[in-house]
Amino acid sequence: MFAILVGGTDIEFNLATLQATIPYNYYVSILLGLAGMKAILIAMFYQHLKYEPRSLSSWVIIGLVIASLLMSLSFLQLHGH
Amino acid sequence: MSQDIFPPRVRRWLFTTNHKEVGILYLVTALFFFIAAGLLALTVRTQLSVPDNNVLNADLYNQFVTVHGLLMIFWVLSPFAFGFANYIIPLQIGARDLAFPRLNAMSYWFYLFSGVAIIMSFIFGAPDLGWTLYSPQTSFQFTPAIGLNVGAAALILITVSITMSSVNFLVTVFKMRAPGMKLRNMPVFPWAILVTIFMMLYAFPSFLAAVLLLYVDRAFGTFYFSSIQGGALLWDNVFWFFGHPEVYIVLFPAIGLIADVIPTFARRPLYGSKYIIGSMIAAAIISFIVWGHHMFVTGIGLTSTKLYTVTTIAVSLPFDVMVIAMIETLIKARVKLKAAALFALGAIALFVIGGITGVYLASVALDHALRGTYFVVAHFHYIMVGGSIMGLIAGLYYWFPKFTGRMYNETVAKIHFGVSFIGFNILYFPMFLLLDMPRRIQTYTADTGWGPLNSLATLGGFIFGGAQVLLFLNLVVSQRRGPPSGPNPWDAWTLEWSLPSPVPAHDFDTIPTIAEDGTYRFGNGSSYPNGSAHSGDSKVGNGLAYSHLEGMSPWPIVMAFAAFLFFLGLSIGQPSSPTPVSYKPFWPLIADGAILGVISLYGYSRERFSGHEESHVESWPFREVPNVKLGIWTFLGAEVIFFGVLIGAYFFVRTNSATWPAVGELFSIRNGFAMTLVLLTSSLTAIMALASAKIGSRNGLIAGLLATFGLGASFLYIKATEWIELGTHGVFSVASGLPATSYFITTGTHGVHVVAGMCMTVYLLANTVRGRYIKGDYHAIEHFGLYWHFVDIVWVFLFPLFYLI
Repeated sequence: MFAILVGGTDIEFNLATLQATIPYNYYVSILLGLAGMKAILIAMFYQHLKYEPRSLSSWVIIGLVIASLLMSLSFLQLHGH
Repeated sequence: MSQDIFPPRVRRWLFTTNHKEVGILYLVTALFFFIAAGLLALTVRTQLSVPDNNVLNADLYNQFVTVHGLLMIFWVLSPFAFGFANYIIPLQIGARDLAFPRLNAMSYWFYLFSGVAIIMSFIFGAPDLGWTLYSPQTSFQFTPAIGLNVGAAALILITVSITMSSVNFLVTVFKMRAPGMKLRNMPVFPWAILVTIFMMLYAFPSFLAAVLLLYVDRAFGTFYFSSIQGGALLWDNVFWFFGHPEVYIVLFPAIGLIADVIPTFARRPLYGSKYIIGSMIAAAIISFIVWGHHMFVTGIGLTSTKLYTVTTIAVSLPFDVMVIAMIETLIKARVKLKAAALFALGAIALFVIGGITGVYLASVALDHALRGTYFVVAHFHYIMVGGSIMGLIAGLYYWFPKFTGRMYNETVAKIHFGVSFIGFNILYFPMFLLLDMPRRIQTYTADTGWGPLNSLATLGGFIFGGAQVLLFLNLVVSQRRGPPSGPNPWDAWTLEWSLPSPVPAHDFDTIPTIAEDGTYRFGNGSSYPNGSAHSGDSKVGNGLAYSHLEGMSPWPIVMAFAAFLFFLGLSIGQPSSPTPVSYKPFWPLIADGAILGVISLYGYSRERFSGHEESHVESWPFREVPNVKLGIWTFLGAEVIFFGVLIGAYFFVRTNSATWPAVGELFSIRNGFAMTLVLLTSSLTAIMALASAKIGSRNGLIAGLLATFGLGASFLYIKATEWIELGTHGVFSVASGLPATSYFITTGTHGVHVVAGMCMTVYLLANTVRGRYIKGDYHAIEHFGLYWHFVDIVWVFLFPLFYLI
């Protein structure tokens, strides 16, 4: 798991050097996607959420959903402002 | 620390962790702040009673209005409700105390000291911008007085208090219910508190982040809310994301309480209790997607306004269900019109008026006309005073016999209701008619024609305020001289009424057992349904006996006082330079607070951490999750919102900015890469420490913890050198623009979390050296790991956001 996390970080680092060759939206999406993947792996395997009762992982997801709501709706406002 | 220097009576109240005593402390303190906020309101009403008045000059007027609002919302409404929750919830669910008694006490002391801070802000020029603290008025340019800093410190302290309470109550309600007390058998009041806690948990971190960013704007000259790139709109979003759930946070406990009171006095089960609970949950969820209706006039765009109009109208529907269910309970019932019932019924009526007027404001067109006028003032006072305060006073009369073992004077209480109800409507109804009078104006001229209605409202204010004197007199006198109430004067059927009045220190002699159909028998042998048709017999008590929990600790009050000194020291420093603005902290207070904080943390850690976990309790859906672990995950959930807001603020200001430094232009990507690797490795060493603890390897555990500490220190070293490098060139300091602001504050906040984690590591190391954690009691290592990995997860996002994008 550590190797995967380091590998993912290495990909991010190398992507930054290729930034000029990748369309910006794809670049940002890939980076955030990699960050999200790493976060999920840390949560599942380092924080042991994979092995905890489902009620606990559902609990965690609630916070993420609410945080996402805040950001999404705020950016919807920005888009229309 | 010797507690014997204090007389026993003083010691009891200073050091108690018993939920009932903490509940009484909350109630008494909330009532004190109610008086203070009420006096501020009466002064404001006096100022507005006639045109061209000058009882208060403009500055003082603004301060009085602002502190009145802040006090009522933060220091009266919720604490008043949580006074009841502290006392009653464990009794209603059949628990001996809250999950974390010392944390509960600490919540109270943080609340008290935060209240002291907000009152003290008057010395330095209290906040004077309205309770909403809109930007850019909060910037130093428009508000140089440091009273706003002190107010911000008070808000930070009370948010910490609320977060501690949220964690505590969530774990308690989920994990400590008596056998048979399934969630579906719980009375509505604990459900209302549970839903309130959910909202608090996810709304208050947003507010905390907002106040912290406001604080650094003022203390360090950063630009979050004062920038022309959407600073004001940013504040609006993060504030109202909290602000709208907040208005339900202050309302739901009263609704839950009313839902307990009405069936008792109607002598029949609550109609549709499942629908009431479901409606509360629906309203709580929708409350997080309606905040934009406070921003209809900020130019947020048609798509957003349409969305928020729909969601705002939608959020009114669950409240319709709740009110209809309560009315159905009353139809053809022979209601005993005791004071508690009168206040409950009055609260419903007034809440309906306030609620309907809220639906008007959901219309964008109407909102454009009515926003910022006294129509809005009337609307929210009908909800918050009419619905919430009146409902809470119903609770005070309802549970007063349980708290004291004495009855109050029913005649005086009914007069209190009558005068309050009339006074309230004389005070607030005229404001609906003042729909062209702007809010927050210190005076007005005679030719506006607003004079008569204002005079009438002021008269109503004094009638309403005067009526509350009856409340205090009645309760104070009755507490000493009232006739004995007996255990169950209302013949009610929730569990708290099965106990003697006042309730003994240990609550239950034996934890009750609730039968499968939700019934339980107590008192005079009558069986009562818990919201459903009763059948069969059930008995209280099943022979399970529990020992009385230890009750006293000095560390909650000491730690709260330390935090108070620390934040006061950060707040009362004088400006050290006008441009960019920064304040010199008052170091003696900060040092005192820090030292006292370290001492109290040490003392706290030496005591037993939480109450005994019972084995025969209802704990679905967290049956297999220990209390402390659930508490930590709950806390981390709040942290997700907190960092989500910080990161969201970064996105917001960046998206609104025309230019931003290119990748690699300012930050060394290698530094970011190195820090990421260091932190990931520290997570690995934390895992290895846990594995060593599980197999009983003391050396492995020490090595793992030392490595984690060392890697944390390395991370901070790289961060510090980066900061120094950026700062010394003079082009990128904390106040040199939005890129710098967002970078320093976001990564700085993350750094503070790393430091906190390292302090935990030191504590764990010290205990490991003493032989702990290797004989099966490794859970503290696991819990530390949960926190540390979360800190790692945050950095996993910060690295690409700041260094690569």
